[in-house]
Amino acid sequence: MKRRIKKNKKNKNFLSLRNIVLIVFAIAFCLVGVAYATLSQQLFIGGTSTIADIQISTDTVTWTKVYGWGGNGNNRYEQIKIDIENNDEDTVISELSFDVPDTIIRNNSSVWICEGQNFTVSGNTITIVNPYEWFYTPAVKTVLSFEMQLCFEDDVDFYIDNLKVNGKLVTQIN
Amino acid sequence: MNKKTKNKNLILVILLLLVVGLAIAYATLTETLTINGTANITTEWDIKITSITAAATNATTGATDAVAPSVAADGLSATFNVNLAYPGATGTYTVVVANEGNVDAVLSSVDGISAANAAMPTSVTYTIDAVATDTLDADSTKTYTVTVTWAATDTSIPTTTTKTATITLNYTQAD
Repeated sequence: MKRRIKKNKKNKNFLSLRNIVLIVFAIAFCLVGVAYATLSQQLFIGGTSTIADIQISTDTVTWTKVYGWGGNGNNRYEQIKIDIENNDEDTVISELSFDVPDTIIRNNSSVWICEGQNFTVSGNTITIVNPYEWFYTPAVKTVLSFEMQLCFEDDVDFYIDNLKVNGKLVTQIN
Repeated sequence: MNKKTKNKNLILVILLLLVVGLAIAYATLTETLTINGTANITTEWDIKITSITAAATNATTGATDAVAPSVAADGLSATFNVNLAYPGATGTYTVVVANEGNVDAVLSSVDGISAANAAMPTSVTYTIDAVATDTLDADSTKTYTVTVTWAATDTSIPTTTTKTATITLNYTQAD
């Protein structure tokens, strides 16, 4: 008889308000867990970039558009002036190179520097080689200026980039 | 047999019939009905990177691939490795993400850009045009552009010359 009473007591305790609340919370937790379980996927894009080991000179360069000759529906001509300020020391420039838009048409373009000379275009890089030592020898704190008329396919957004003097990158002001 | 006894017997018979009737009725009501069903999960959740391509313009913006860009066999990652030739150089890569499953997905977040850009050298920065909340419906693709740029304002070579970034695209099923 005592055991039965004890058992009943136990059962009564099991169905106490506290236990009922706990069970309700457990069920609610499970429902919320199921509701928030969603499919997911992570994708990764890994990039590595390495800066080239280049030399940067203390020289500076500015360029200006002297005249836009307009286009004829196929080609467009731009007359550009480049000013390189020598901030370092008396220099003999043996080679000048710079990048322009890759739609340049070599055969219709020309560069005037000192007495004029040949230049090459490789991809979008123009390279001018000094044929004689005395051609471009800007003294320190002087400016070497030259002009060029470049021909591009129509609607070009002109720029000059990556200008190097004797292989050293020149800081571009504009 | 008196009348009272007769009535009693009649009631007993009626009750007996009633019990038998209820038993039959209960037996009828508790007839087992079996419904056989088979449930198949037809959900396909399959989000992956299908390609990564270097922009043709990289050749004219001072960026050359040190290693050709590639996608892992499982389609869950893509990598590129680029050399930047001068301040102002920019490398651009096109990444195509495909939802080859039958559940609509949404880009819940894009991680890794801020951490990468905060690391040295800070003049080299990564961008991606992905935006959290971008949807990727079932059986569709999305194209993203990833760029890495060496700032044109640098007038010297940074002490640290290599920078890595891991950009994470977190997709979840759309509501």
